[in-house]
Amino acid sequence: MPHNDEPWRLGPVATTGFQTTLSTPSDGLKPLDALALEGRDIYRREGCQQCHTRVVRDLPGDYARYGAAQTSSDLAFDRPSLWGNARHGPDLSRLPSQHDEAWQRVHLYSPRTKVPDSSMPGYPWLFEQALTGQTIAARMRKLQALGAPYRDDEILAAPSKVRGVAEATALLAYLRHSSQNHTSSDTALAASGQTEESRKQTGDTP
Amino acid sequence: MSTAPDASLSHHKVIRQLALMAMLWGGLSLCLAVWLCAVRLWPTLDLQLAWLSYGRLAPLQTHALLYGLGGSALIASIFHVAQHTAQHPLCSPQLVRFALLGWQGVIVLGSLALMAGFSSGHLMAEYPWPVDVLMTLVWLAVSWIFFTTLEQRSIRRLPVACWFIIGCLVMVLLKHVLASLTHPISLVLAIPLYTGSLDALLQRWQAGPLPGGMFALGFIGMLYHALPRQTQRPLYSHRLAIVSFWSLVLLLTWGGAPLLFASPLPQWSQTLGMAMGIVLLAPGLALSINGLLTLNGDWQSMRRDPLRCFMAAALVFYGLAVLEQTLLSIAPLNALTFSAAGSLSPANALGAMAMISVAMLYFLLPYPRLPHRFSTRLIALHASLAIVGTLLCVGASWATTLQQAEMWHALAADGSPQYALDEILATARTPMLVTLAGLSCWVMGMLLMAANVAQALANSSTVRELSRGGHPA
Ligand code: HEC
Repeated sequence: MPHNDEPWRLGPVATTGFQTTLSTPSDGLKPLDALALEGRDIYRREGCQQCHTRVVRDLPGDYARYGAAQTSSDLAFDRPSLWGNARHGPDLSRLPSQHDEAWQRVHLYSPRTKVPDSSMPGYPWLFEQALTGQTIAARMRKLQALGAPYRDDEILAAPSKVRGVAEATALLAYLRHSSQNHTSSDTALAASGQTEESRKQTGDTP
Repeated sequence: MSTAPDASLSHHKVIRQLALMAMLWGGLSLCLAVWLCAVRLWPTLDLQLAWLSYGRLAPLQTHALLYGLGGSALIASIFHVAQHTAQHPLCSPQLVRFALLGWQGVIVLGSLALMAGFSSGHLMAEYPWPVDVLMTLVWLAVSWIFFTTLEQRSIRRLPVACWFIIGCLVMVLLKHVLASLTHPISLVLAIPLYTGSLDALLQRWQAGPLPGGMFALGFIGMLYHALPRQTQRPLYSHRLAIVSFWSLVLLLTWGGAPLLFASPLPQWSQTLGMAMGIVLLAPGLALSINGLLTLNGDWQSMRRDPLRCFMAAALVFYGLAVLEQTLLSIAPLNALTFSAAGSLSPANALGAMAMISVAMLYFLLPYPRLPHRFSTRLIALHASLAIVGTLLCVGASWATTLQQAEMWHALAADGSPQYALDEILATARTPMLVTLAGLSCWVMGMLLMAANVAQALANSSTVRELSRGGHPA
């Protein structure tokens, strides 16, 4: 909370104070890497939040299914926040571990081949379209200016890193990335490395 | 600011055009709602096209209903109220035209943008930032027209309806602008100013519990203008209306937090939201009851004039929606109802909103007097279809919520969830069929309305031609 030595500026100080309490990142919280950030944008674009939430509530039914509830600090880099407000499908804060990458790809392509009475729509076009990486650097710069700890070399490398990657791969990288909480960030790295390899092996279609 | 006398006629035309557009958007968005419901019931219907996938069309539908039907009807009523209160045609005809075209532009551009995937990701405010800017400009234009026209009035004292509209104009602008501040990256992409929980809070604060949210003040203003005219009785209590107006304006700012219980937000803000949600009950119910008492239990006249029936039903559903939101503001109830299907869907609120809008359309369209009034039988049929449709949707949403809540929070002895997700999701099927039936009722009602209006307009134009032939000007 900023020091308040000018009482007439109480209004602005109170709002920044409010903003600080709600958006201080927790220790070791990493912002999304370039690929996951692109994935997040696809999640927003396709409106996955119309059917899925991405917030575990502090209620027994929730943490029995999806693990510990998040705090504001865990979500400090989410712009915009994509909590969603209806669960027509599961919460996606942490992907279930029993399904591997290949399963998730097929499920995303055509959900009913994996879950016969799923009501989720298929997303075949995500496997045909590739990322262009056009806006990623600008977005990361803006996020950096707003407080996300990106390194400059990361931002410079971002466009070439994501260019040509299938959108579905980026989307799953995003879902995987946030599926672990900030304490186990090394598994995050492992997971994102693995997705890049699997992209090269499996190609763009499942 | 003198305008030629025939300009007043053209202003009635603007109001009628807005009303017709509202009708069109309402019909389209309800058809879309039927389609979306069907796709969720029978997913194989899905067309597998990016532009038409569920995640993109769902916000398009709610936005077309809220902004297309609700917004256009609201602007038409604002113009009508201004004109009638001031007994003066609308000022600045250019701006009036801009408001008419601009608002339709917002919905068309916004819908195309959503289909193309340029959503801002903000609940109930998903249009991308250029459309938000256009919306703000149109809203400012509407406010300017309202205030300048009102300036021309000869009786200084403002009727209550005007107070509500002023409140609505200011609150909508405030909430809309504050909640959608962003850093633009490109024409279609932006990064919101706020982050994480704060963004979530502001999103809900803007979308709000709909009955107390964005347009509530305006809708009540509409009804409080139309009710006394339709019933030829003064408003039951002027003082009650003013008191509830001020309390609603002061409290509404805090609406929306009930959607955030047990979330990562700090406890104190959740508690504040709960308190505000409960306090809102008083003015909300007062507004509804005040309107109903204006009708004064005159059932005989209601049978003769189905439009009164429509208005009464809208008020009842508004009251129910307020009650529902209050119940949901009580933390344990909210925890219970926050189940797989999310919180209660805003069926009740949207129903009340759509009903008030449609009632207003029936009220506004005959100005200047159509020689041939609408068929009352068809209005009565529309009213009953709307009531049945809303009841079905609301019932289905309660049934899903209660049943899923029960299963969602049932834990086995070892603390693991008792029901698997697919078991829980499967319970939504039957209620969804009911919702489909309810929405179909609404669509049928809108079709009846279209037929009714088309008939009346056709009749009036032939009559006008006849009279023009008979008495050359
Ligand atoms: C019409 C609503 C709907 C939309 C839109 C939707 N989903 Fe789903 N989703 C579901 C339902 C229902 C399930 C549960 C049944 C199943 O597993 O298919 C589900 C399950 C899932 C799962 C769980 C798989 C697992 O491991 O069990 C993932 C991951 C998922 N969706 C991702 C997405 C993504 C990514 C998007 C956006 C591109 C999306 N969904 C859009 C309804 C939806």
